[in-house]
Amino acid sequence: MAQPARPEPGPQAAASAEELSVRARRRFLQGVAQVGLAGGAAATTAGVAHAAWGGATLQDALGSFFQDQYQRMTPDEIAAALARIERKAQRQHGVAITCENTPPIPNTVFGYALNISKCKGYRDCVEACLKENNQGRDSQVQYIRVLELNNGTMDLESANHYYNPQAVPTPGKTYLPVQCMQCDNPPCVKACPVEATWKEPDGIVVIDYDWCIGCRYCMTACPYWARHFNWTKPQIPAAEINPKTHYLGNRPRPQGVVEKCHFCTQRTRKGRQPACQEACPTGARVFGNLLDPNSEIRWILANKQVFRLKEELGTEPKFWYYSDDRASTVR
Amino acid sequence: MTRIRSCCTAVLAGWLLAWAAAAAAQAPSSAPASPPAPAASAALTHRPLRANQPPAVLPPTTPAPIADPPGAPAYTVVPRQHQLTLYPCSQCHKVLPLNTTPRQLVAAPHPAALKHGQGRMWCLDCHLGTDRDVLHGISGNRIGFNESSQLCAQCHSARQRDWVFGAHGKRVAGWSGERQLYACTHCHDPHNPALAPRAPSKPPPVRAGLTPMQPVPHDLPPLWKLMQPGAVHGPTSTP
Repeated sequence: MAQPARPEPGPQAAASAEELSVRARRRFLQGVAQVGLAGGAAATTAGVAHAAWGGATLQDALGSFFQDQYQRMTPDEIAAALARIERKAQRQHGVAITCENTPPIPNTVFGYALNISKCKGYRDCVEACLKENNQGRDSQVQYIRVLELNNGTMDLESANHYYNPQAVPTPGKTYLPVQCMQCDNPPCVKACPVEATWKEPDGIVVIDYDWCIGCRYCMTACPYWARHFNWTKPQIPAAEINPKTHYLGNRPRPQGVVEKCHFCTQRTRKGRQPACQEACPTGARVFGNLLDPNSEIRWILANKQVFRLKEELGTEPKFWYYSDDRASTVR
Repeated sequence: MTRIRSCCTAVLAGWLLAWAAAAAAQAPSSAPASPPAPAASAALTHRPLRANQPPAVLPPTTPAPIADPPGAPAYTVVPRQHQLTLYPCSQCHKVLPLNTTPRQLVAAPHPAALKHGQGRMWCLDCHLGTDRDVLHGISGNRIGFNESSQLCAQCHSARQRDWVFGAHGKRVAGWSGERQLYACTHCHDPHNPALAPRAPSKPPPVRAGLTPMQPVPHDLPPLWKLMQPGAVHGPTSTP
């Protein structure tokens, strides 16, 4: 007995039906979480916060589990995620932090210029970055690497990362700090299989640490050794945690994700200087808005001898190195 | 004996009375002469050696003959004068005779060796002999300690150009908003401008089980030379 042919649902209809079912399932689970939370709160007053789910409440655990990628979240979902991050920091480190998602400043693209004539290899920028960005003290993650080169060479492969003499600068050596170049054509973004990293409108390449799956393809793609992987759970003394954090910036990160320099998103989007610029004792670092024709960095690009690292790769870094002129060649 | 004792008592009483009267007379006059400075700033800027309060009004200066390069963006310089330990200089120099003969200084608190200029300069090339609380330019114009960058610019014009446009020196308090720059003397000691080498911060940690990468000698011969028979394999010298 032949059944009357039912119209085949189109791909659009199928997608929407699937999406609907996913949403229904999510709503159901969130409802379960809330009911469970209410029941738990009614049963025991103190046991809820440290019951299970890694010390999180069931609602927080499920909220984290179903958290979407940052760019796809609605403002309400982002607010909930920020509140979850603050609660998690309070639970794990015992520190009250504030996590924000300050949006990019309009008509602003950040750029960096570094005077290699002035860099003396003190590594103060590394130290300041470590503290500002809540990097694990024992892990190998340091966003800035200061390379020690022999004078007259630019052979990065033979550079020394681990120099530790009594006093720097060592005669005959040059120092070249390397960090994320915030490429305008970032190969790491293309390599990421889950779109956990992207370029923001102000030029900063950011990572959603909750969306990163830790595959480390981006580390392989980056020609500047700028990305670092958290092999261990970052250990930070509670007294040294920087409580002013940004979702895409220096919020406490979990183990097993990739992180990198983000031009101190939590500072620069509020008009402040990055921590490395503030820490530099020689004034070698200049930070500014590339779209402002009167900015300092634009003057340097127009009037100084500048170069970018591995420019031939076409990654278009927004990080320039320049050097001082000899006084006799100044116009 | 009684007469002697009464005489002594009278003398002592008279002296005490005179001292009390003098103290009472001095008290109102001395109070406004040295007003108590705020404790925080006094602790920051001055050693508690003596009452050398900085003057409330800065000494008069004349505009510099060296102007900023054309097209320079607006800026303000972070004040420096309140950090000078021995300011005001006239505190001592008002009682010292002016000696304009160039000579070697050995007495503290001034630097005995003037490295700046490598022997070509001496104190009164920059400090004004007749008013020690200000500096002076080549044309004799008075330059305050807060505007000392104008004095440096007389010789170091290339550096001044870089500084004004932002390629030298350091901007304080944010990349946007009011442009505040550190003065030359915030970083450079004007009597010994070169920065001394010092120890770096600690090197990056190496993951457990690994050893730091040894620096590769950049003058290593090419591989085809190393692989020739009789050649020594591997790096020629290990540090």
